[in-house]
Amino acid sequence: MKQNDGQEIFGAFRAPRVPEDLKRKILDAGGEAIDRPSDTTLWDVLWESRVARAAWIATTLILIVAHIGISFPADSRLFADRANERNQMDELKDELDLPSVEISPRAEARVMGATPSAARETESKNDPENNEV
Amino acid sequence: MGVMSDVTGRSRPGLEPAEKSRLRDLFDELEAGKIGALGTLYDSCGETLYGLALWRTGSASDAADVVQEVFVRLAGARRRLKNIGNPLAYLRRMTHRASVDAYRRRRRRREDPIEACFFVETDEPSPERQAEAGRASRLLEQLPPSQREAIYLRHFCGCSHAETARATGVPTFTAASRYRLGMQRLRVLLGVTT
Repeated sequence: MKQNDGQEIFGAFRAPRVPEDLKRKILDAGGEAIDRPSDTTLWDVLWESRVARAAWIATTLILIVAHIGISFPADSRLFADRANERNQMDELKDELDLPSVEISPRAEARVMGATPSAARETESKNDPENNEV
Repeated sequence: MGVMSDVTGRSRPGLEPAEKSRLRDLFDELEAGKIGALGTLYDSCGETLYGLALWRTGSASDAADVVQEVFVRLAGARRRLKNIGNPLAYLRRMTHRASVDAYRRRRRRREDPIEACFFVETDEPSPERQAEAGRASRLLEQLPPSQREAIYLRHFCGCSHAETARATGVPTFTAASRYRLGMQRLRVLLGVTT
């Protein structure tokens, strides 16, 4: 948009003038603010002084390093505990992991109460070699 | 409303280096604790900042409070002024922030400005011109404050879109877009065709 495109709208006008007593109010309140010595905050000190900024940064770095130094052994203990726990679980699993037992049809038939001859017959029926043509 | 003649004289193409350096000197004096510098700063920038606050808040009393707050804060934080490279840009930014706060406070209280706000005035004494200024003000009141602010910074402070963006804390594209939309809407309201 062109720079002068608002001239036709605002050409005849000016922005309103400030109230007459505003300057006096500002100078009164500003004078008090200038004389006020307790206006300096921690942030002002940091803003102004290079030494204070360096001290602030050094303190922050020390705190970060100390935090890492303190939390690192605690973390390693935690990892060690977790590793021990995992080993114990593996051992328990090995103990409980018994070999599976395959039950032959003959044994199954016997368990179900069939006579030995009937059980032999069942086994021979289920044997794939006997069923070949 | 008819097309207005060119009497603003406020549309400056940008701050001259000499003016910038003068404001910088005033900041230095203020930093040294000279209250007179605050008065001179007010004489140099008070009207511009008042207009900015007025166009943003839409209330003359809020605008006066905002300008007072800005200058008092400036006096209170004088030790920090030595790092400010562009004093006028800094003051505009402070005024923008204080105006936004004042506008939000008023909205929280759900108050409308009691007095009719004149965003523009005219030096011509004729009743027709005065009526035109009143009508233009009522139409400007219908614009969103951010668009009004962008228009003010462009036409009454001579800011580029980049300077408007810096003053209002938005990207340049947003500042340009606010200005464009505000002008479009104003044209529709005024019935101006180009």
